[in-house]
Amino acid sequence: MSSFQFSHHQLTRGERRLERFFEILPGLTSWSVLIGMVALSYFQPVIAALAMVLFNFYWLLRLFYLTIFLMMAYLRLSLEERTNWSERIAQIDALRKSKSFSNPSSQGWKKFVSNWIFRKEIKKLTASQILPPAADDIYHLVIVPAFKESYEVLEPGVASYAQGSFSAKKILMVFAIEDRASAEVKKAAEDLKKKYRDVFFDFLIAVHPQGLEGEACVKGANATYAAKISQKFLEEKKIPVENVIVSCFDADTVVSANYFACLTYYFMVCPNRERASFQPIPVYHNNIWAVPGFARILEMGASFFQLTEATHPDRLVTFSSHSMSFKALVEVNYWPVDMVSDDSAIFWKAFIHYQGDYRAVPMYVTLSMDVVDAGGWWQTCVNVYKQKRRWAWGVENFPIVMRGFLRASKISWFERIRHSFKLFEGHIAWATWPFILGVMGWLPTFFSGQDFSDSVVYYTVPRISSVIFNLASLSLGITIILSLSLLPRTQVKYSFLRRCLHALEWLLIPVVAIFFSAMPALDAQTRLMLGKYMEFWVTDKRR
Amino acid sequence: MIKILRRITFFLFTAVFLIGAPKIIFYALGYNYQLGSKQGLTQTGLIYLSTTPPGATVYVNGRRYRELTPTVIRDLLPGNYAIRLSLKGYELWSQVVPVQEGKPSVLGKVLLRTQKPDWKVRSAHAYQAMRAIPQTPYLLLQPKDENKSVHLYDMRSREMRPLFLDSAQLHFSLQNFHFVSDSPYSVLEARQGEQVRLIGLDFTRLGTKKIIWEMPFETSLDQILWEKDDFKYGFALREGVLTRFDPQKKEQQILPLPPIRGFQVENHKIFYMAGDTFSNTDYAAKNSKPIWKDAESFLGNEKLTKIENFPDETTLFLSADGRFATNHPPRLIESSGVRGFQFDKKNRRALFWKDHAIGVVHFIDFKNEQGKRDAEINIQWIHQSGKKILRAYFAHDGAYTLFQDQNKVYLAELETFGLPVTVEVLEAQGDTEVYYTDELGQLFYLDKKTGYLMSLEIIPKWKVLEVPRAILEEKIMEDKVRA
Repeated sequence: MSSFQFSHHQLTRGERRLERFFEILPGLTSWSVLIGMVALSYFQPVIAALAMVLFNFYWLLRLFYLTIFLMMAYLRLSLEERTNWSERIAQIDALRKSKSFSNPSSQGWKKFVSNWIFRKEIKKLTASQILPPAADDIYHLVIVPAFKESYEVLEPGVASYAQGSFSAKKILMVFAIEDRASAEVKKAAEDLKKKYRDVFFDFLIAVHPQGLEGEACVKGANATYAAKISQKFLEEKKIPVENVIVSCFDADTVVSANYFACLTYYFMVCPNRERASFQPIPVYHNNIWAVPGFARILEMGASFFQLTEATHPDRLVTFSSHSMSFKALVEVNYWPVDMVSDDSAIFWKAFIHYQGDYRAVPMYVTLSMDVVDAGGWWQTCVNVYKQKRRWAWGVENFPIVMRGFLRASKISWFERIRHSFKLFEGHIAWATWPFILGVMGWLPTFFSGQDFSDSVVYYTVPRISSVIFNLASLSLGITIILSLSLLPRTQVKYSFLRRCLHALEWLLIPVVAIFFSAMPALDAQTRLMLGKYMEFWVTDKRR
Repeated sequence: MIKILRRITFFLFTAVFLIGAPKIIFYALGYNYQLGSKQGLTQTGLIYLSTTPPGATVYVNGRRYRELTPTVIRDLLPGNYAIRLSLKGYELWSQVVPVQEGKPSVLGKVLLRTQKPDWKVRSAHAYQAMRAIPQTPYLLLQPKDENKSVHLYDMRSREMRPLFLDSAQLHFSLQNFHFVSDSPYSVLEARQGEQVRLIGLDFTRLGTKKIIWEMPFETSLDQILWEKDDFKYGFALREGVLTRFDPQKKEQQILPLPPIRGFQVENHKIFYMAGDTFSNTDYAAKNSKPIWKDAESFLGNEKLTKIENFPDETTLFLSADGRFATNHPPRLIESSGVRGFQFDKKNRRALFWKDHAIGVVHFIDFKNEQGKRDAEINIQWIHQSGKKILRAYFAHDGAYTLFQDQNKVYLAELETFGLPVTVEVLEAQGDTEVYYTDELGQLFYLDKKTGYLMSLEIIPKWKVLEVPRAILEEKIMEDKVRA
């Protein structure tokens, strides 16, 4: 266990200096890359053009690599689409009692592969000799922080938790409401409590008082307050924390019918369940057809990114709505109460707390959220930008994680370097790659003097780049097909036409990537570099 | 299993990158592995070919190349290559192109000449003379019928109208038109009895509103200049005396300068040549600063008919006896006979013409001993067998020149690896002016037989949606001429 304080605040002078250094590093690196490329294009266009074409080649290989694993992740998602998780839970229960395991029947190749994976997981579980608690003893704690969401936004989520294949009587539903929230929001919570109290194990409303010491205006503070209240409640009910799985959901999160059954399964089958987070695949289908095209492909991109990440559990970090062992949450002292990016911060907090003995387990089940929609096109653009900047503000984890890693002597250097590099490189790539691919490639030609235009490179590089981008369109084609397959099959007006248009919307990706991905990321890194810290900004959700 | 697969894929992709990256770099730099007698790594060159219109079939040493123009022919070993271009409806084009290792041989603006010239009749009347107003879309046309007033033709809207709607406005005879490059203004010099009247015109205005001022002057003038986009003051030169006039206040002031041989107005400064010194001064001529001396040694002591300042500190001078010089060493470009010049700002070169020859002077930048930017000059002769070359224009973004020799118009290649090929384009009426604008890609001239205003498409431009009325008028005019 580490006594490391996972916070930007109350640091010693030395720690503060170290923290500032690591706060400055990502922004400085991104700006250096971008300005360096501009300068190189101006002063040494031949070298810049060659560097650019090498980068394009590297990017193409990365794209193909990601596409291969995106396809695999999608395949796995579709394999598990019809899995009967309750049946599997029962099989694990049986294994607990009789120490025996009956091979499930396999009809069709999908089921065959799914069962093969299941058998492998069971094998791992039995080998660990750390058997799970009985399914009947497992409880779910669902915390939904809310601040300005209406009844219409909150209700579908609560209904989905209540109507799933897993018994809602094992779910403790907690609304974490900010005290400064409007009366309308509080009334909505009360109305929902009245409506659903009898469906769940219980239904609590935790009103988070404003201005508690050490807290910032962030979602993590609200969720933490609710978790503490829930802990007391569970203690009163004599439910051990190690039997509780906590899910902290965004207010608009709607889970698929088998979400809690699937989560229970993964919790049970995971030998290190008390030191694990469980990451579902987030999709943004709640209002996918009601938003402008650029917002639609942006969120599809986010889902695909998470799908690809799911194939790499060693490096998976929690994102957005997810679940984790409540025992771990209590032991790490809950979510950070002064950070905006609580979703990823809680993973790093636990990872450092347990000296690297913590993991994010991918779950091949979806939960759906809202795409930002502010009504008007321009306001939606502004809000999407702000939301992406908030996501990119996850870079605030970097300085804390780096400080934590410097003290976490029990984590191997390899692991520390691997995770640090991934975190750092991920943020730098987020802020710079779309600029390099979309804008910088033109600069050597734009600045070209006689020397450059008199070289063979001036003519060969555009040709090579064009071949690379043509090959990249293969990936784009696969992405379009997967995005069409992943979209909800609900009836919408002109469904076929809209799906065709959606395929074309993917052509906007270079522009969207610059304005709604790279720019917000660069904005967030620059703010961190300059010490202009962000607080939580609640995304508009409409129904 | 996914972990193993990931690892295999990772190492596979790393191997692809490590093998592919150097190959890409070598390819980008033009290196190629040759088999056979010249086995080994050789640096190749390439030929870039772009034609107007595009889509021409390319033949390299008689063999058809797989791509149409625009294209890059890569992996060429150093040597000479016979290139032939063919496009249906256009004349064949061919040239021997030398290729050097690591260098591109660029023919980026090959103009394929159509087999059916696209000429159009632009007027319903016959004219005896035409004069273009530089940098404006207007042509001034003098009708054959002396009683009719001067016409103004708008090359963009294709509208023809009298220069002055109310002929009663003019009770004097036209003497001269004065223009300034890139300026929408023009000054008309007219005589009324003994008195000279200057009339300021703004060609961005319509009809009678074109006249923005009128003022009397005592004598006729050698030259009138002004700032290209501001006509607060005009500057008039007469026998070495420079007069500043304010057309709004109708005031004139002789500037206290020594006798000057030529001048230019730019950026609120007057640049002038007095004796052998080139200087600049403010509008009141109170703070003169010499720029350089010793002008007589290469510009003689004649009047200067044209001084033009260009970006990158290049100034060109043309004297009345045809000496053509610049401020860059060795200063004298041509010692006699130059009739006029045109500057290509983009490519930093000037086209100049004499009675029998046309040349292009290239300005090549370098830093001089004092570390200041300077330029060397390099002259390329394009055509040296003219009879009486009257004017020349850069065409197709400087890749060609169109020039008028007596009443014939020729097109000559500038972007070439061999001797420039010159072809006759048309024959115009007498010695009247022809005018070409790259913006429209059209040559305007008076028809040799009818005197009608005609246009010939030199550079095919994208066809814009034409106003039906204009098309109809065109058709009527064409029918008339054919009849």
